[in-house]
Amino acid sequence: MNKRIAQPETNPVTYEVIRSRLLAITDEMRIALQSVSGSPTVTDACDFFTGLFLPDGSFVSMGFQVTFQAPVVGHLIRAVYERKYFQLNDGDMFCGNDPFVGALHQNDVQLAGPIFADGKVIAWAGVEAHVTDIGGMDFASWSPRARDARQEGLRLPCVKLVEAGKMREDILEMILTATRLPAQLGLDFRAFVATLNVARERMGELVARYGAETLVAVMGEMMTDSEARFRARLSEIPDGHIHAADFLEHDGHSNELYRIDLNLSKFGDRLVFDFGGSSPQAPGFVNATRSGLEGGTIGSLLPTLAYDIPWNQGICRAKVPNSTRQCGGYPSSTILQAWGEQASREGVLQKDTVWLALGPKSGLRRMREGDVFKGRWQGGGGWGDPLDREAQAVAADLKADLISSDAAFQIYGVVCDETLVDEQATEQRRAQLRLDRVGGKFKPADASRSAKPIGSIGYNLLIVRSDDELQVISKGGCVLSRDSTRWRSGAVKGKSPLPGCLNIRLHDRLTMTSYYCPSTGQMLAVDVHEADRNPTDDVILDPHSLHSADRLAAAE
Amino acid sequence: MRFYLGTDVGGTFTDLWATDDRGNAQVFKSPTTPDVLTGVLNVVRIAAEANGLTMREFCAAIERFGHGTTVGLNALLTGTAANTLIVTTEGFGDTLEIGRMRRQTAGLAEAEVTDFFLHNRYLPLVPRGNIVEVDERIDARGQVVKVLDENQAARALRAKSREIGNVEAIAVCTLWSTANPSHELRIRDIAAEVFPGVFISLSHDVAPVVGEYARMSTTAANAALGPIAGRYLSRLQEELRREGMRVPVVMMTNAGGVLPTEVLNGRPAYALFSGPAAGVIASAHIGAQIGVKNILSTDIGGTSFDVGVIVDGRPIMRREISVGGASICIPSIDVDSIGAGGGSIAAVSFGKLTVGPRSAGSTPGPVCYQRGGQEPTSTDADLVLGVIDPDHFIGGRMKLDVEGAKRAIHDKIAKPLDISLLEAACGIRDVLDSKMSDLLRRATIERGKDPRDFLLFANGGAGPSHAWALVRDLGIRKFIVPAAATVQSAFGCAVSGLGLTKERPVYLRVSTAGTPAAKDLDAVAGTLSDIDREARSELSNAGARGAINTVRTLAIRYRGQSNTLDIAVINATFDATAFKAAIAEFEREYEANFGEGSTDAKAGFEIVNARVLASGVLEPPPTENRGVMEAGVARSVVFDVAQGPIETAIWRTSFPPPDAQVVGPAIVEFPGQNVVVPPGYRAVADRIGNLHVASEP
Repeated sequence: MNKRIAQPETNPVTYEVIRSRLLAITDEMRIALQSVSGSPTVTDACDFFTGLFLPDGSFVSMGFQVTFQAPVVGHLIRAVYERKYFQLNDGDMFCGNDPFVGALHQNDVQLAGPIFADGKVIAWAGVEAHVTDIGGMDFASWSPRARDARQEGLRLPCVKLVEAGKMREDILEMILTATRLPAQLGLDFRAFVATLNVARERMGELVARYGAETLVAVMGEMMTDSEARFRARLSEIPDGHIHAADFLEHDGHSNELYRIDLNLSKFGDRLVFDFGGSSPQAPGFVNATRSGLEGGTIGSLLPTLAYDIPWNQGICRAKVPNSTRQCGGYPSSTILQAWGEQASREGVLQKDTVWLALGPKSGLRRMREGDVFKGRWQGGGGWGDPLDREAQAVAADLKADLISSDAAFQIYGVVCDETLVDEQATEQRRAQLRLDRVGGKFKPADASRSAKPIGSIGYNLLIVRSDDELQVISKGGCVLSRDSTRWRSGAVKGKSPLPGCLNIRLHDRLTMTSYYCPSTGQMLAVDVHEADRNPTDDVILDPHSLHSADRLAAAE
Repeated sequence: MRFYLGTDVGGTFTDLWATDDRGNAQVFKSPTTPDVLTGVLNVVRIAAEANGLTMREFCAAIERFGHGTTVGLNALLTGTAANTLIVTTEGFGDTLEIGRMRRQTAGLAEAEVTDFFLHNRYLPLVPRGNIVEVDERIDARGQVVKVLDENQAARALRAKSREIGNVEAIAVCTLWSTANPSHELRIRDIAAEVFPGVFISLSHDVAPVVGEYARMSTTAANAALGPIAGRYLSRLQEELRREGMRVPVVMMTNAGGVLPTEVLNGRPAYALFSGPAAGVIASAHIGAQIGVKNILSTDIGGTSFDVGVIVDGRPIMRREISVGGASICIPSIDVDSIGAGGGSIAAVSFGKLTVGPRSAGSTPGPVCYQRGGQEPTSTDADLVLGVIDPDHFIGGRMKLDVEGAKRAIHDKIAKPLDISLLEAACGIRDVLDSKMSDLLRRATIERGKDPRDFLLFANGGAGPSHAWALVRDLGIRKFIVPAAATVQSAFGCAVSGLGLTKERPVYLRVSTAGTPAAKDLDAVAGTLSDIDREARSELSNAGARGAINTVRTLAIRYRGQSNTLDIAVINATFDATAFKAAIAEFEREYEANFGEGSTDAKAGFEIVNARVLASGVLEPPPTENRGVMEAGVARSVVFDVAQGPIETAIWRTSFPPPDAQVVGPAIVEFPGQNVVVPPGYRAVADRIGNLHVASEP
């Protein structure tokens, strides 16, 4: 009962107290930033990031705004150390926004400053925010016409903006001269300084209370703790390869198609991201640098696989980004844009407006009072077969104006008068649609009744074991693949044109392939792919790791 | 004999604080009932019996009946508010759905943010199908761009009436009604014809703010509460009148200050947060009695830790609060809250200790309650540490299971962490206390204040037993346990003066060096004096006697910012001198809040809102102190894990007599709370029963 705690600086109580405090400090940084900033992207859209870092640039704690930014400020911190001409003083702050050092694009301006204790740097505080304008060829530094990063605004690789607590007014003036909104950007920089000052003061109090050594030990332990938990999460998942390809169209100059290709391998407690199959660099503004790719990758990982693990760089030690090719940008094939010249008077839309359809990345247009820009997005991605969605839920979507009556009929197979569902007609139509999908004849189900489910792929594919054989079967009981999870070969392939009511236009080089269960006509997957390439299998799991997962489940 | 009463309906208990005209204060509690009303009448009956009176005799002797309740709040959070229609300008039917894209993460716990599954849990206050768009348009200058098509409006309302049926309330919110309310007023008349007798709220009246989202969600909340809150309050008033009460029920408002229920019937959203506001008002009132002006008003209950900040005797306010994901734009006392309290659950995961935000609540409650709770909580830790006497909890009405608490902490915390039982129990307390300190730091430092310039007022069941750790951590000189600490919101309702806020948007933009044109200043001055006059007249109609005080403020910001500071206008008129004074004060306060070098006059200034806070005096109830304090049996208590258990004096009282002194280590046990006086501290009672605990010089 009277055992001493091993080391006072790493006992679980101090650990949790300091960890909560670091999170609280990160949030106090957010409050300072939002209160002082002059950019609506910060105050209303929350397009910013605050965090605490180790001197090697690893993030220890982060705010919860734009997760993609988490690893980015670390690059700026490393860039400071790489430049040997810098001397680090207490109260220094460094500014940067260069995508080739660390930023998603030039609008993402960052400021980072070291935190000293006993004459040594023990940590860094960093802040990043999307500022409205940082110069460049077009207003808002957002230039579809750009051919080169130099046209997209002022680039600050790594500049000392605050020297020992004093603003370098000459540098600030230089930066503000480059922007079209000097007053707003001026407030943003004041906000950045206030944000880092909050972090410096609070960290100083923590050092005074617990000592620098304890603080550093806890920060290190936070990393190893999250790493261990993330590796444990990865170990629970079967080994294998995941393949995914998505596309960007139009580089701002011509309607080229760009492929972003990811081969994700998972083995043991490691994840490897390989983007090597992606298209080469584009001559326009759709590229991403390494830091953008890293930000996107880690930012997606945190809420999906690490949703219950404290977020810090420890999670990313289980992950290796592997290529410097491009990705990022905004797919526009699913947004219909239109222009209505003088379409509104005093804010009221004129009924007889003629809409001019705009292509993807139509670029800068001069707007006069009364002109209207209209953007119409597609709905979000679906989950499962639209014919399985409850008819009443479809009717509710229709009533809420989320879908059109054409979509309800064509895509969901729901027959309704306004919002009143005709259940019988709906059943008949859905049955007919399912039959049409497989060419008018269902194949009898052939899965064994004694097959034991040991996993699933999505919501309508089961991985089962039947007489020591691994199979992927559909919910309808049809065996699609044996000894492998490459199930597409066993499904019915359909190439139907996109229903017009979807409001989606595919790029000329793209096509869509659907896969159906041969026994029931249930939709299993839809692939969007290049017309001259066959879709590839997306989930290829290692059968052995599935068997061990199975044994694990049996042992419990 | 006359009685002054304050009542507050909480989730578990309905509290009553009462004093007679000789100043004998009493505290009563009764379980809250599902209909709320019965619980309130029950606790009044208990108070009557305790004073040897019949319900009738007691009610006839009531001089003041102050009331606070979370009825409205619960109705909104549980979706049991009235079936409400919204009428708005054509093209704005999706305003509530879009909101502000709900990307705000402020105030959420770590797990609520990182786990995307927990995002977007709240549906809009009013479903999309309940929204009617009408043909009309008014522009920002208040000019009619498109005349209201009255026939279309009537047709659309009738069609909606057939479609959804049983409409109980209507919120009317049209574009720029704050600049010209004529269309909203006309729509009200049309709606009243289509839906006779239905509760109608107009946005320019309920929430006269610029920005149609917050204005609409506030008006919708107000409308949705109207039928429920109005019905409840008039029934309460009626029942008490029938029992012989002669005074009106006065209700606590979000902004602090009570108002007669008739004044609030049309705007129930103004009383949505009456409970937490009353708690802060209670602290401000006691502060005024004992000469303390800077106060951290804290309340630690079973599940949450609430903090209000009082600067210079005035609670800090906020313009907007959030309920169930909806913005409510009504000036309110700013109460910060986190999930930390006696029921906070301690757990070990991956070798680390965590406490809260999960709570065992009151059912199943802590392990020691023996109601089926299996996971150790903060209360279990306090029991193991000796802070709570298992045989004397809530005045001995509930026996606590020490062995069960020990077992749970040993099995679930000490063993997996490989530490001793006492280390584990101390650890639970330390982690929870540090989270509360974090909130106190944020609540003060965020506003440019230093926590060491405040005294901490400890309220709620668990407040007085954790306050010592909080003040020690923050470097605060002293904490005070108010005499009514267990029923502070009820106390606040009993002692509060009348209070009413009026606000209206104004717009004035100034470049760096410029002074605004005289006519623009006059427009602001005109608005200020209009709302000042309206506030005074409404308050005297509400029964204020004697002088009415008003505080006039303007919301000022740098051009382009969205955050504003409320700056008081001291000068009688708002001329160029007053303008300059206000701007200078803005910059001074701005720098105090956000640090040296953060001001930027080059950006220019904007004045966007005018507000008047009017307060009227209600005769305060007398308070006098006649309690006794008795010594109990000393026991071992752990204050610090390194020191281990130390012999601690125990005192019992329900009302400490004036100048009573207790030297730490000691615990003063009240019915419902334990005041912990750690070694090196001394507690002294003042003349009205507040216990002041400070470290020995």
